[in-house]
Amino acid sequence: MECEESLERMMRALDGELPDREWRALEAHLEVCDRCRARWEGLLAAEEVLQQAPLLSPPPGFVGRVMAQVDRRRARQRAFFGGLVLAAGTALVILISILPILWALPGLAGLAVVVSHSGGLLLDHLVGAARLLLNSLGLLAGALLVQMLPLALCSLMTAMLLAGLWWGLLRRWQVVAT
Amino acid sequence: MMDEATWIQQAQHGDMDAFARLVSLYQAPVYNLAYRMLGERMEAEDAAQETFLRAFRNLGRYDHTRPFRTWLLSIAAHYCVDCIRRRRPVLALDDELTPEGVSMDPGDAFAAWEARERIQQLLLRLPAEDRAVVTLRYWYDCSYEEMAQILGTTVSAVKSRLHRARLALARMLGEAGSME
Repeated sequence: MECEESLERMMRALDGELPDREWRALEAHLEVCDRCRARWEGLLAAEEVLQQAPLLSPPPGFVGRVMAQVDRRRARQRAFFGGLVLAAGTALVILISILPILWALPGLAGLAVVVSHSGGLLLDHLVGAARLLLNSLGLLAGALLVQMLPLALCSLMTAMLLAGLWWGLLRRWQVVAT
Repeated sequence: MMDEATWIQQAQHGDMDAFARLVSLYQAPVYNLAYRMLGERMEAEDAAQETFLRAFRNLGRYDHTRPFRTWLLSIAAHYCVDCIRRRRPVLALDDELTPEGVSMDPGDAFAAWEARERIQQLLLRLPAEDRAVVTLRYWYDCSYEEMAQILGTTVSAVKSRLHRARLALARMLGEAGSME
């Protein structure tokens, strides 16, 4: 019981929290108990070694290396976020580009009617029908091209303009490496 | 003029120079803790680097009412304990006996180094959490409350760890002494 209490007192003494009265009680016990005295001396020896141990510093250039890592991680985060934005924006650009074409699709439905009509005539009059078919297709192609070419050109130009703007923006935000 | 609180605020707003100043200010305490706990210089530097990276990432969550040192050492201590847990269970004592790339004259310099490194060898024989407590107490003069905060545990838990560690270190020193 006495030894256990002494041990607790030793710890508090090492912490600098042992009042004088208790310190005297501890000293009294240490005089008569070899085991506790040996223990106390061991603790003091360890305490001395611990108190003398130096605070080590990292090798030179540590701060530089840490900051380089910080910059790298930030760049990686930006690239990831930028990648997401790039994907979303590209999808949007593509959608805007093909919209005019989608809008012109009903015009193509007329082509199906003409083809089936020509096909019916072909069964009746082979040679004449073939010539008629070719003429009809020629006319239709011309009509479609006249209608569709401007639209196709428009959407292509829009797509290129938008892509160019988008690329410029991303470069500005330093998401895409130069 | 040193104003840590200003640097912290600036760093929280993305000022890299301010953060670099904080790294410079705390590089020794963080590295020392890592070295005392991990026992190997390269590993300690990696751990110290990772500590600052995590600190940077979580700067927004730093609570100004707590001391910055406490917060930083907490990150370091937790990371080092994780590192130790992920290792093989027993670290052979012999691994740490040779000086690492240190060229010095034999005699006094070596004896001084050896005395310094002896405590490190003994530290490495303690379990991870006990190592943390001893390091925080003797290198950073942390109070029991601060240690409890840093390690995320109670004051009584920290006290019993330190007491146990002191006894273990005393015993190990005694064994080492009897072998000389």
